[in-house]
Amino acid sequence: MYKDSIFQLFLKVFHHQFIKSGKQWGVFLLLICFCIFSVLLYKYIHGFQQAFIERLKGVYPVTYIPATGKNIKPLDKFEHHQEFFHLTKQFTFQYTKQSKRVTIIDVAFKSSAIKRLPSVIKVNQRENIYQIWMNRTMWDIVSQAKDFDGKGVFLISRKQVPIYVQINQFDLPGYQPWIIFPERLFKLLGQTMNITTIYPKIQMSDKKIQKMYRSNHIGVIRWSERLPFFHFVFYTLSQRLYVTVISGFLLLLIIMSFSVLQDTFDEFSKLITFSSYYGVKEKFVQFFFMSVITIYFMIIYLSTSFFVSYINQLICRAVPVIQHIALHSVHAKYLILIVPFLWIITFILIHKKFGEQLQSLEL
Amino acid sequence: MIAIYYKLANSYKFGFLEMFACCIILLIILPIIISVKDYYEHYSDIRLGFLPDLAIQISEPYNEHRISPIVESIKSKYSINFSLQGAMKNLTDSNFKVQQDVMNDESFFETIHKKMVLLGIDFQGSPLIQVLQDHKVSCEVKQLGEFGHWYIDVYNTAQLKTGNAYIIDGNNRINVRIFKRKDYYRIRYDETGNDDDIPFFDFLNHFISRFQKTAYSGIDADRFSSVKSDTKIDYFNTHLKRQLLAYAGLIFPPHPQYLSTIVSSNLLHSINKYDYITMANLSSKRYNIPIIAHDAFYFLPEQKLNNNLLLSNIKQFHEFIQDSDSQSFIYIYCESSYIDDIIKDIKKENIQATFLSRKQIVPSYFTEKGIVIICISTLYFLLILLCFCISFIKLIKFYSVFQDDLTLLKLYGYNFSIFSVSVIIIVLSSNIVSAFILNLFFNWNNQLLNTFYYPSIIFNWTNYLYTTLIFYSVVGFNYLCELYLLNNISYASRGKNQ
Repeated sequence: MYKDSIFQLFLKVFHHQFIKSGKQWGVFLLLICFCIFSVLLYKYIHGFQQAFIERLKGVYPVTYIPATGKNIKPLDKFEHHQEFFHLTKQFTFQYTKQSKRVTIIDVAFKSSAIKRLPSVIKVNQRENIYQIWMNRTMWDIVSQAKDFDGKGVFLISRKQVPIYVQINQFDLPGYQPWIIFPERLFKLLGQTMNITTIYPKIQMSDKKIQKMYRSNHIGVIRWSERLPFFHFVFYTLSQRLYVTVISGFLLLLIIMSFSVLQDTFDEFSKLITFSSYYGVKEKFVQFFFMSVITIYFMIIYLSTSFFVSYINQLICRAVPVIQHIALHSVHAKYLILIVPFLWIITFILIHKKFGEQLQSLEL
Repeated sequence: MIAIYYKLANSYKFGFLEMFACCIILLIILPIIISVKDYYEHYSDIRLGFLPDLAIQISEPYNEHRISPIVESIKSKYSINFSLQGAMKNLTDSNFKVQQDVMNDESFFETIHKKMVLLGIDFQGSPLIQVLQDHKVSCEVKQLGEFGHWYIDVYNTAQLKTGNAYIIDGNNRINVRIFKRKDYYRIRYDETGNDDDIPFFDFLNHFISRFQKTAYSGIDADRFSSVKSDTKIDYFNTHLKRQLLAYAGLIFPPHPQYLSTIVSSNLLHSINKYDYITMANLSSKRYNIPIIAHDAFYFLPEQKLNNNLLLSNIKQFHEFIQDSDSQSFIYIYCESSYIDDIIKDIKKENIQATFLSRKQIVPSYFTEKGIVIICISTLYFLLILLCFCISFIKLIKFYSVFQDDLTLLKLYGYNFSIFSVSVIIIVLSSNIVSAFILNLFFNWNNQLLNTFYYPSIIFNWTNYLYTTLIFYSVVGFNYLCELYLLNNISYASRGKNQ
């Protein structure tokens, strides 16, 4: 009975602080709006990166050693795979067995095991090794000729044997012509591998992989270090814009949350005074206060998640063109860190501001 | 009184600091969000290369005295990035033959393109360069190229002599050597292979840019993947060198018996192994023109319009095409918002012309651009709206507390809007800080662009000003609130007195 009444009193205090007046509702709703806005912004900027330049990741091997030496042993948590990667190679083929050989210059080549194909490639026939994938630029060059049957071309093996391969297309930003070969076909053509691609067993950033290998005195190249200049420049610029805008939003959110916390502390001071009359222990007051703060922000977070996915669906329906951008999901697991983060911050602030007042409750 | 103000300001210091931080962040984020549009347009311009925003085809032979005033009047009225003008000839049923591989027996590879268009560009830049020997001399360039070393041939001028000299390029002085040839002088520059070459490369870039801006050259860096390099010299050698040499070959044709050209990539890219300086033969029913293709350039609508383009110099164009039924063209590179007005202006000139805008040639680009602009504008206005709402609620909250202090100040004879003045000071100082940070940010980005010889992006200060004005409108609102409160206090105190 006693606990109920103090609990009710506490609830009244927080009702008074958070949701009593229109102003407080306004602050609460605006915080939700601002969070929705920030998450959508993050989602779409991130989506644009994923949809455009980041799609080159994987087509350009993410991290690799520019050699195929057998003595390069993989570090723990990594696998090595030998592949072929060349950015300006000549591509020679025949449209028919009888036609003249055609050579196209400056073609980027990559070989890949079927299970490790870049994400931009969709595979229909996994078992078919007589197929290659060309991006739109390459397809446009190859498909111009009258001799082209619309399906495939003859590649010439090292022993000068023509091998018919089916051509599949894939979308890739930029105008560099690209061909991706299945590894087995590439070997069948008598070609040798020239790089050792590093595949981490657990998800890991390319920078971290490079750092770990460098600490073991092994030179590793990251995909962004081999981008064409045009992509490199605009990739760097977009990263800078992205980081600046997102950091700005994050700072604004922190300032706004801090401002809400600051307002709440005035109410907390009154709460401690009340509690001393009722003989409530320090830990209970503290736990209650931290829980209410966490619930307040969790409601904001959950409402944000709900509205973000709802608004996202609406946008996708209204503008189908950006579906491939919007589909990339926000990493919710990072946002869930908000709970322990809030607990810690509130705990520190309470003790810094009301340490003495709280201790008096124990007396 | 000052002590009271100080005490008052001290009690609100967290609020002021919060406002100051928020103002700075918003005054940085908002202009950056708007500037994404400029970045996107810059990116698209470079991506679309040679393709003009507006192509005007005039159905009369090229006459500089008739076309130039039209271009000048457009330039004077609108902010044009770049323009090209000259003569054009549609070559129907023409063949383009390229000698493919001398080592191979397949000596000729033939392509037939039904619509081939030859453009004779009247390059408007000045061919004069400043050379300092005993004194400063202006020399007209005859030829520019590289063969073991860089050379610039200049027409005979009595003021030059064999020996060391300097080329003057702005504040830079580039050390060169001069050699006398039969009827011209050769200025020779030997590369050092290190950063000392940068002034000379910059000079070459500035010189060729007088005739053709590299952003609109269409010779795309995307074709040349980077080797492990991120320095200005690497970029120059891998990409810009070819671009400059190709256009230098066009502006200053090296062999008068051949038509110097740069051809659209469809013609060269698929059939030429070496992709630079290629002898070819352009033949149609009436012509058989031996040409030198210096390089290939990317022309997006090439396939869509089934139109292969060959660029040449107007002088050579007239030498090889003595045809009265050639046409003229004007290519305009500008903001798309000007296009309708430019078309109206040209129609007024009583000229029979057809107009082709980028929007008609690549509608997909405009859909993409439209989406980007709508997204950015929505983002910008939503953020402004949100900030307005937040500041509105914050102000109401603030004044409910501030009213008591204001009453106290009023009793002490306080009579002006202290809070509004403080907010103005905060917005002004955040203006200065944010402008400084934005300037640093854009300089940082332009440094990267310039390293790779891309044109700089100029920060749009007008947009920044508009954003700032929105902030000042909030200050206006503050002032009204405070004035209202002050009046209320006066009435309240009068009531009390009575």
